[in-house]
Amino acid sequence: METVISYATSMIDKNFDEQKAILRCQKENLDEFANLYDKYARKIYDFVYYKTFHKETAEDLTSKTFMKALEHINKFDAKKGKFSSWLYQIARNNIIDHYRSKKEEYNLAEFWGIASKDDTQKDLTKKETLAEVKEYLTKLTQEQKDIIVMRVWDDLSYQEIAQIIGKSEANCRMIFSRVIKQMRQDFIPLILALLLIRLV
Amino acid sequence: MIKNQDEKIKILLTELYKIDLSLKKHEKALVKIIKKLIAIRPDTQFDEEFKRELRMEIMQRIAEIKEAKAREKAPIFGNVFKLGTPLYALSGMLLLLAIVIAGSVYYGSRNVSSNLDFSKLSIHSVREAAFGSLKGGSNTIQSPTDSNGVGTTGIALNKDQSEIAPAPVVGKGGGGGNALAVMPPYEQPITYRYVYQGEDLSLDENQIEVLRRQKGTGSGIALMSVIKKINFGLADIGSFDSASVDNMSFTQNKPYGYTVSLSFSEGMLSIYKNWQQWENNNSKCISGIKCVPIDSEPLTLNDVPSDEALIAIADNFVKEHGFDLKLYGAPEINKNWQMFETQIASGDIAVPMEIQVIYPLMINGLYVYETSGTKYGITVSIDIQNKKVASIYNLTFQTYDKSSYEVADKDSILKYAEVGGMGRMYFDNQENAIEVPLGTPSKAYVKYWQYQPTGISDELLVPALVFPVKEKPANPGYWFRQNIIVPLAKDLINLNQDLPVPLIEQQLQQ
Repeated sequence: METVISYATSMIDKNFDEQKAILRCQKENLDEFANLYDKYARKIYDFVYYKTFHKETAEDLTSKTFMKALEHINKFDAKKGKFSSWLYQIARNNIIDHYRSKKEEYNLAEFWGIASKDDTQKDLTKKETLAEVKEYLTKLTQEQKDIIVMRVWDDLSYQEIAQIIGKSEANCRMIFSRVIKQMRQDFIPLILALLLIRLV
Repeated sequence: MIKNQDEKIKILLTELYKIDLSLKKHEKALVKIIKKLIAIRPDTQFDEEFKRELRMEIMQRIAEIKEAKAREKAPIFGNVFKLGTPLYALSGMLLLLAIVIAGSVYYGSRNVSSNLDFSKLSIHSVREAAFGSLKGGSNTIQSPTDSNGVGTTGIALNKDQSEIAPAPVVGKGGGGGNALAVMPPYEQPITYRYVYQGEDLSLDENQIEVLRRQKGTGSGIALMSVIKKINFGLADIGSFDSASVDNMSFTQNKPYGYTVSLSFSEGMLSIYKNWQQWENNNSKCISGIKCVPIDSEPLTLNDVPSDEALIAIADNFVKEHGFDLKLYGAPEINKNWQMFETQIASGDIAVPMEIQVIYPLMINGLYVYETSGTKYGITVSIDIQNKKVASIYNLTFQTYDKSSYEVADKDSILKYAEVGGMGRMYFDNQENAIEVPLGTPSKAYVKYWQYQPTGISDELLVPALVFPVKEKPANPGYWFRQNIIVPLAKDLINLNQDLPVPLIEQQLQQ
């Protein structure tokens, strides 16, 4: 019985053809899955981390995501959407299952304390407004938060976001636009007020 | 893929304007908001080591899936062909290499690059217990390369002497020979009794898969078939029938150049100094005595670069020369040369001229260990004086047969751990035995040389348990054993055969 694990062909390069790799995986050349893993490992991990804010959990769910994708690669249908969307969808389902098993909902609010590594800490005004932005995001609906995070942090296209959360692309664009619009209305007076306080 | 922040903001704004053009007049405010959204993105603490380990797990799973599918489909005579496939693949790759090499010889090309596929792991199953007795045809003598010592230079103790003498011995094992010679008078050997203090052990398998490395049989023949076609003008190479190429090497003729040697018979690539092009203080050393170059002072601890610097030298070399290390873990420094604690404390230690950085081999997600308890893998030896890579060894083709063997029982495994596991030589001095606590083991492979009466040895990877030494004994003089290795194969644990060696006094009394 032969099992061949090839790492030599797993180098991701500019010529990597994702569609061909998926087709080859589906034709039982599963070694090609390593290329897909190399391309998406970091992205899926980050995606999960943004929803769990816990390194070990993110690693665990990333692992589950790729193992599931490997087992079900034959079920992926390119006509129904992009491979990336399919992969993110698996990750999202894993996240939901994870929170279900813990009988809690994922909520950004409690995790903002660990904050970002921005270099604006010296600027009090910026610091304050960043805190406000974080606070503001926690008040959004889960769907709004997901769309903002996926578009701004994960760099996912609206097409991908739509496929992941099961809404139309136009709807996702609209939700994103409304949130930003609302933020502008809520934040500009706040920024001006903070500046005024500092000047005084 | 969005390349940078400005570009990203531009794209997001364009998208927003498509929905509501009136937003354009608030562009400054929108830019601020988007920038803030980007700024609060948290650091995800992504760990490259995690990525690499998960990749190994995935590849392992792929191997399992493929194996299961192959089993379902296997025709009656299927195994005959499957058995040969990795060899064909290897031969094919080398044939390609040969054509490239032959082509370059023939046409005088200077810009030839070859892609040696040392990063490919191939494993194929053979029948149960196909390798015969794992102990081999002779006793459990291990390879001289599996020393507990430093390797190419410095103090090196063969594993079988590791627990005998509390003082360094010159040039025994591991190719040592440059370090300080101190041969003390006979002292009572120390016996260590290892005491298991870990969690309760449970073995969840009755069979284990032992791997035997294929050393590239047939690849030299493939190369020979090409070489035979080259017209050397002097003799008809083709007239030498049934020949194969055993080795191929080339040398860089420039300062600090290297010789690269490829052994087709062993499936191994080695890189080492071209001695003629390196400052060679060794020639000024007095044989068998600590290497003191005539024109310079001996190396001291201050000459030893930091761990980070040593790893950087090794990393730069492997990157520069395009080594694909996907089968290997993060580099570690072999610190066995520091086993003489008291000498380190006093500063009177023979600093080796080379220190090894090991990229540990990982098979099926498990590390591979030497019987001594040191991780096994590609070993990059750093020349301390020149701060350059001196040699690279243990770079081998990773093509294996695998065969099932019976697992030892829990009690035997623990008993074997308590007497020191593989690579021990314990004496019947139980009265004065020093206790060493062992922690909960992890699974790994142990590299084991299976010697045959024919003199041909096979390289086995045997599933094993690695028991960490929780606390080393007080004032042992020297101590290198970080782990005790116990193979899981029943065949390799026979406590009745591996009896303690009587003390000299006991032998005299007998």
